[in-house]
Amino acid sequence: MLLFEVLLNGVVLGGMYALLAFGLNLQYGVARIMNLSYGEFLMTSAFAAFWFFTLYSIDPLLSALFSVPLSFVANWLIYRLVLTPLVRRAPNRDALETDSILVTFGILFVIQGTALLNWGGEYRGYTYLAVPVDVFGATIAANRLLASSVAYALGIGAFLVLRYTRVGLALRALAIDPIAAQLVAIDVPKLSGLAFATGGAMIAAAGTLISMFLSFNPSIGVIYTLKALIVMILGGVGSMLGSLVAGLILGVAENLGAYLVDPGLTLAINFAIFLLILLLRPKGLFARG
Amino acid sequence: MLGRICRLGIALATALGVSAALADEAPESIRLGYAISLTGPYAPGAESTGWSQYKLWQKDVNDAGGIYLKKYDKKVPVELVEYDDRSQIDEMLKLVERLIIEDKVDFVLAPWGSAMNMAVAPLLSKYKYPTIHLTASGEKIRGAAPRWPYSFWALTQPDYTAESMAGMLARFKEEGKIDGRIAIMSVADQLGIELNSAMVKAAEKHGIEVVYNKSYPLGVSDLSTQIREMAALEPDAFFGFSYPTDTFMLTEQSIVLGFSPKMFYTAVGTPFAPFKGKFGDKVEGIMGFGGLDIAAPGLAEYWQRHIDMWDRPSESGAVGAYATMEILKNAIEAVGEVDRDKVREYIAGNAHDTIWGQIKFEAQMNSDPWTTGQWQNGEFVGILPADKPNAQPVLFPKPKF
Amino acid sequence: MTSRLFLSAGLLVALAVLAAVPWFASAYVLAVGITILSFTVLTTAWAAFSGPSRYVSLATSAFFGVGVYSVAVAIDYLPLPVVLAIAAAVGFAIALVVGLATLRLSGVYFVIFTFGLAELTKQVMIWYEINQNQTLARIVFVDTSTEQIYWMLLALAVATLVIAWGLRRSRYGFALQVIGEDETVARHSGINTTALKVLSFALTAALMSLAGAMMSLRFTYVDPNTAFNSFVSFQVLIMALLGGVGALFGPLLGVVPLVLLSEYLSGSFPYHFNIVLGICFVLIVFFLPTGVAGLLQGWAHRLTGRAS
Repeated sequence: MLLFEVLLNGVVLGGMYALLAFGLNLQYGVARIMNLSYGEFLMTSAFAAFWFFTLYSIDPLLSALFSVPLSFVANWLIYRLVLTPLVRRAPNRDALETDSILVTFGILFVIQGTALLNWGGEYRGYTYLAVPVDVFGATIAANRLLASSVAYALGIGAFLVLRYTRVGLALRALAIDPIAAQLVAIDVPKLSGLAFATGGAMIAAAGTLISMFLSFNPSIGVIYTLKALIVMILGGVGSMLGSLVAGLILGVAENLGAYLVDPGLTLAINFAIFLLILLLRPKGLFARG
Repeated sequence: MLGRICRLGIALATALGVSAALADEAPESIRLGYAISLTGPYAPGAESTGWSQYKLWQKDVNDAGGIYLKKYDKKVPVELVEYDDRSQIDEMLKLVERLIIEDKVDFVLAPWGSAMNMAVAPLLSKYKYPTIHLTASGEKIRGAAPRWPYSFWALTQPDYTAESMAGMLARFKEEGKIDGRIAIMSVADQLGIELNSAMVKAAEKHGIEVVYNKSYPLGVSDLSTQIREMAALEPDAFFGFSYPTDTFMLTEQSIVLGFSPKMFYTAVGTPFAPFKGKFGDKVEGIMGFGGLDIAAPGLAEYWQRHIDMWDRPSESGAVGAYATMEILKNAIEAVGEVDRDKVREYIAGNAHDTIWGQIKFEAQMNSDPWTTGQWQNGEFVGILPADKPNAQPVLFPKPKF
Repeated sequence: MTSRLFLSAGLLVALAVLAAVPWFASAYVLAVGITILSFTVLTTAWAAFSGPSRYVSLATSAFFGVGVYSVAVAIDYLPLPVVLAIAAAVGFAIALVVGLATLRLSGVYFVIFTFGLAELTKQVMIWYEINQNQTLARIVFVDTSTEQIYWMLLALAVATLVIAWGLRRSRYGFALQVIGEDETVARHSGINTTALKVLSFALTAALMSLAGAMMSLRFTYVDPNTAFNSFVSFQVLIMALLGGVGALFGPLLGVVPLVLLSEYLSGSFPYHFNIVLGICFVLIVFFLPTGVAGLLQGWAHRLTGRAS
């Protein structure tokens, strides 16, 4: 019984890991921007949920109606105003990557610094849906279950959109080859902006969900950016399904390792698996070839 | 006639001469400098247990006119010089040297965290700057302190803390209230590990059985499996030697999974207002690291002034930090001037009355620190050592979550 | 010919001045100097490999940490020069293993792989220290003076620059560049890409470990979280990109302004440090696209009237 619960916890955790990576897949896989300020939008929407709940007693999930569109717009503006000039002037992909790393690093500092100044450095948290749910005999916290379910729904939904809609087709073409995409009348700049903005919206959604059960402060953004990066790389850049599977593997491995081996080695196990899979499949699980 | 004028003249000259000697001008201000983590992973702790207390204390002192220097018969205001060490030890060391050498501050205030404080102690003793370190707890401190004669350590150390708690467990076992079986989880960082091994030793000494002992890395996201494992063993008491993020997570997951032993302890972060804010009346009976004398003279007024200045309540660790500032002020006033060597001697050799109770240093270590507190009736109170003034009786058993 | 002579003379004078710093500057300036020297070593070593080969490594913190720990573990039992040699050797060995392991990886996969590796090293170190020694931190008691640390780092920085310079001018350096441009072509031109990549990676890693070992002498308190701090890897990357990876002195030109800017900002705007630094970054990217080195090269070309 306990083993089943361990596995289920792993699946739930895995969903959360995957949720982190979806947005980055769009921003890096499609729009080709290595956005180091990615996690800051998770942090800001976590705080938004916190303020909505503790100051105005508004259901934190409703704060997503505010945070997600806001993050979409903010990321869109960042892409149009700050990144597009860099995209235009970059002679090659490497130069763009260098520039986007530096610029988004700067944006990271600005967002984090503003948050620190206004909200202070201390840890915040609130309790919401911290009730047990019985799943086939195993006990899972309702808030984690919710976050995880949204993650799986989002992942499958994104996969379906990419696979079966025109926009999805255009996005995939963009991810494979932006120049060729332009040749088939895809509006590359506009679509890249759309992808980037959607990525920002997704991580904001993740922030709202995660804030239900994890504590946060203005400095956590970078940690989540790095987690998202690992999941994205493991799954293969640009692949939503890949992120889902990668998240699942990491979540289950972490929980199983803690249970069977030693909780102290959970992170070590995660990294070891990450490294091992990359060695066997150097472009991630669902490599785009 | 001439004689009288001469005598008057001599008297005048002498008086002028003497007052010329006395006219060592009082300093314009007493400058205290600190390099602390305004940003980075240590920022939360540095804010609540560090600079917020330094600034509050400065306001309190300056509102009363300043620190009285009897050498000049004058009150001198306090000036703070602050730098951000960005949670990096190397930065902090560099900035402290800047404070001492370039800014020429009169005293240096402690940074935040065991690592930072242990790293800076040798430097401060090299330059002979007496400093009271609060946010530092580590096995090695007691043995190393004599090497750093200008350092004073005010917080309870792991061995003392564990002994205090194991002693309490032994008493409860003797009274038949518990079987004496405990479960331990600790964060894989310095404090967590040291509390863990100290607790294991102390438990063995007092005949307490440790039925579960696991550690988890900083940054773990899910401890529900471990909590389930502990619940299955039905221990009397759970000790989580944790940091704020895991303190919050362990508590929440225990509530959700229904793990509610008769004693529940999470270490750092438990006394914080946001902890109570998140868990509401479920904090009742939860024990935590550190404590305070709820009826210490001046504490109630301090509490209100803290809320007035920072818009949030204080907590036991911050009270300790404020107390270290009170000790410094008293030492300076007792010595009557800014003389670091004399201040050092005063701190070492006297009992100090503060809002944290009376503090005395033996071999530079706080001789009788608070080790443990507990949430009782919505207030975090000191419970161990039980013979400290106004230590409250242990609330036992903890109400079911 | 004479410009070469002037340049060498100038460099020697600069070196003499730098060596004399401990005698006329305050302990604070010395501390800043130590930070600059340590980052110069790390960034120059990093750029020597990652620059031409385009293999961006985030494993810097792993090698730095290895150096720190070599000292923490061995300094009580062995003399300093031996300990330093051990630090370099261990760094070299680990980098060999890492290099051989990552042969099939490229691009961003290589980058994140190295990051994962650095984190794995930290986690393993934490787990080892806890389980073997029931403690996480070590206190290191050494009586090396700050001046001595400064001189050691100065010597190391000079050595690193010389090695980087030598590598660039040698055919190995050229081969690395070919690898960076197109690895398939490199292989087909008869370059032993495996040996070259792995050995040059290991060489730069050894230098990083030495820097870590020397810095460790300043620390007193050592634990895996502070020794294997991944932020160092990112700082090195940022400094290298800022200064311009193409030039030999590029890294140095990234290190010095950033360190000095940080010092200035943390003193004048302690609470706004983050925001101001972030804005500086954005401005730098927009107005200094080729890094500081590129900017200076542009000036130099204009001054000497050469076409850029």
